[in-house]
Amino acid sequence: MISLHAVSKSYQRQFDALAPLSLEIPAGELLVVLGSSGSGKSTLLKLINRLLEPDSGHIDYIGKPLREHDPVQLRRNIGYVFQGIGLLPHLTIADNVATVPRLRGDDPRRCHELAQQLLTSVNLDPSIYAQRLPAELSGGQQQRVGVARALATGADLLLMDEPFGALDAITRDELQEVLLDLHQRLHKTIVFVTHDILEAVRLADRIVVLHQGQLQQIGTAAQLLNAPATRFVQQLFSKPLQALDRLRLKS
Amino acid sequence: MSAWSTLLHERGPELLQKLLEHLLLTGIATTIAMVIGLAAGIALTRNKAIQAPVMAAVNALQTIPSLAMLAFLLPLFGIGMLPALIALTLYALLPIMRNTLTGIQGLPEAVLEACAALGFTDQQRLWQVELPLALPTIMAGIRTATVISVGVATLAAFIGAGGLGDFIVRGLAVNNSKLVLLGAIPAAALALLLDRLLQGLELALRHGRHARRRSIGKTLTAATLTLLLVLSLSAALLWRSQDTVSIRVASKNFTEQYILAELLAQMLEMHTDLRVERKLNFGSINIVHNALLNDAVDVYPEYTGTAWRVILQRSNTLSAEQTLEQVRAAYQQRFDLRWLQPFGFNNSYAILVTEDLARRHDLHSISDLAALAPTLTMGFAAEFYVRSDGYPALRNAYALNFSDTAEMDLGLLYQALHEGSIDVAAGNSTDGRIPALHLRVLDDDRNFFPPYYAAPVLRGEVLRAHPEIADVLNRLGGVIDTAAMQAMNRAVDQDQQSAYAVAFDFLQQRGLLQPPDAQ
Repeated sequence: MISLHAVSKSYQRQFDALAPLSLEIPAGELLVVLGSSGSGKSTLLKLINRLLEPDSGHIDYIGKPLREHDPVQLRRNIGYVFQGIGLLPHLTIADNVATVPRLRGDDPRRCHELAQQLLTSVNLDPSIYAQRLPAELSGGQQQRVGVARALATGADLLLMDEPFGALDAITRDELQEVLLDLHQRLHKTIVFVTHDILEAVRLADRIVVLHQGQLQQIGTAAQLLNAPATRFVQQLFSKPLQALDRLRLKS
Repeated sequence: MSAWSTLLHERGPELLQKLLEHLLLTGIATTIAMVIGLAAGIALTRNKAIQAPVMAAVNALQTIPSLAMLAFLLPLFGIGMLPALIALTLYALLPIMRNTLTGIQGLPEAVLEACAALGFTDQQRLWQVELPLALPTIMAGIRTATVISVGVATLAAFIGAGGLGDFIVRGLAVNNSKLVLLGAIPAAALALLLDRLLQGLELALRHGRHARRRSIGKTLTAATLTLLLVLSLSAALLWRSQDTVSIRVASKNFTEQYILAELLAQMLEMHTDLRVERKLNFGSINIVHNALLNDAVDVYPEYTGTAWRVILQRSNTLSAEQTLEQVRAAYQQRFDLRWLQPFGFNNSYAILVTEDLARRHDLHSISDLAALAPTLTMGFAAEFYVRSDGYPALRNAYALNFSDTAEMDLGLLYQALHEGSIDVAAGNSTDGRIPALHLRVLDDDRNFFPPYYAAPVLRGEVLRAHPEIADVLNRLGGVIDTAAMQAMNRAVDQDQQSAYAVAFDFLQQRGLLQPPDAQ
């Protein structure tokens, strides 16, 4: 579905730069990009919906060079979920969910029905929440709305930029469950960025590990754990395992 | 309390007119500032490079004192509504522009990032996200601008733009606090009312948005239409009151001028079919002279000596008859302005000392002051300092070297002299406070001051269209001597009567309210 060919991006400050990277993302995959801050993982995401343009290399999307997609149309056809959530504070939950269909000028009644349906699918009761304002919802509830908004595009591709990073552990767990459930039912292609290795392991079909802009390894969680390609990947997995071991010893 | 009800009864219709004028000035200026300020503020959010210089320029405009701004616009745009509107608009611009800019730029980064990633076009982001979210800040700017406009509009009176400031300026000039309050209280009430109204509108806008998404456009349109309706209504009311042919009687901004203008106005009201409009409070002879030349006013009382020195720029001193004759000829030839019959009195500058000081030092003429001057302080109004027949020329003519000088309001001069905070004052010989406060007028033994006989000055065009005006106003010729003028001035300055009532009483006593053949 998406092919990156030796794509790179640099900034005046080195932070979040990306060294030449090639990557193939097949349709229906849940790909997790794992890295700490400054690793270039958000840059990778923003290159895909043309919020950023690469310095070198090129990207193909649905068999066509990305450059030939109109940026506005492209973004309306890709779901995007942020850590900052970014709900529009002056619109109701239903209107927030239907943001992109409304921008496209879809029939208001259909927008409304879609919103109801999507709120249900992220486990928010529309009869309770549809007419509320974002400020009246908890952080976890707001991010469910964020996910519903991304789904409302009807897109086959969802980009998720550390969407659950600011949530507490229990809420994060619930939302991960929701996401896995959606992925199984809807077969969307999802590129999911996180710095949380446990989240990556739980969600990913494949994991891409980035460190300081350099690609470390691409593979399933098992491949990464059993055959780490770099010292960074090895340490990445060994630390949580050591912590678990210590816990076991104590108890 | 009864004084208030008399005042309101007397001034009621005028109050309504001034209020409408004020509303119109404020409304038009704020509306223009809103359109420009919003557009410019939005443009600045899209063009960060010019933000700082543009905002610095607009900020600088705001620091110009309002009176200085009006004075600056005067030579460019003349007097009246236009320069006042320009000044008001410039003042209202800053709060609207600044609040639009900060309102939009202060939006959370997450929201803007969301807009970009969700595929908002620039226009959609502006109308659906930025403006609705910045609305409370923008409305606060509009409210500030409106309140500032109502306040600054009171100063428009100085350049003949009307409004509630007319009462304030007039009240200050005749030292009548009730008259000042008659302008100030409605102005304050108007500011509060408009502020509340806009606040209500803002709440309606916000609630409207919750109920129906698209209603922001509708509500904005409704608000604009309401504003236009109010404006056109007040404009229509003002215009309607001006559709008959009217004579615009003007005056400068001191007591005697108000009384003389009232005499002219009431004579015209009584004896002609013309509507009379009073345009009082002009700041100086130059301003009112310009107003006559620009067809902004028709008639006002002026003094021969002032015209001789200031308008005709003559430095020599002639007899009363010669001065009038030459001023009359020059005015007719150069300006097509006619001097009618003088009222009869000579309001010269009077160099005043207290009777007490005069007796102690045997002072009779201005020459007698020369030796004593280095121990004395002289006070005068600001205008006297800059006039060609004012302080610098007087000092040279009589070799007066005062130890100090003080500029103060003309109305305060007499009291200051009486209380001893100044020793010598340049007042007006017809001021009622000269006899009342036991002040002595020193003789102008070197004929420094020209004769200042007061007479109506009328536009030639008006005279040709309505020849009867000359007959009516000439009935005032020679009927007011110095004592009569002093008495009328005192009635206003000391006894707090209105210029209207004092003029009316005078006309009644002299039988001038009756037709000429009944006399």
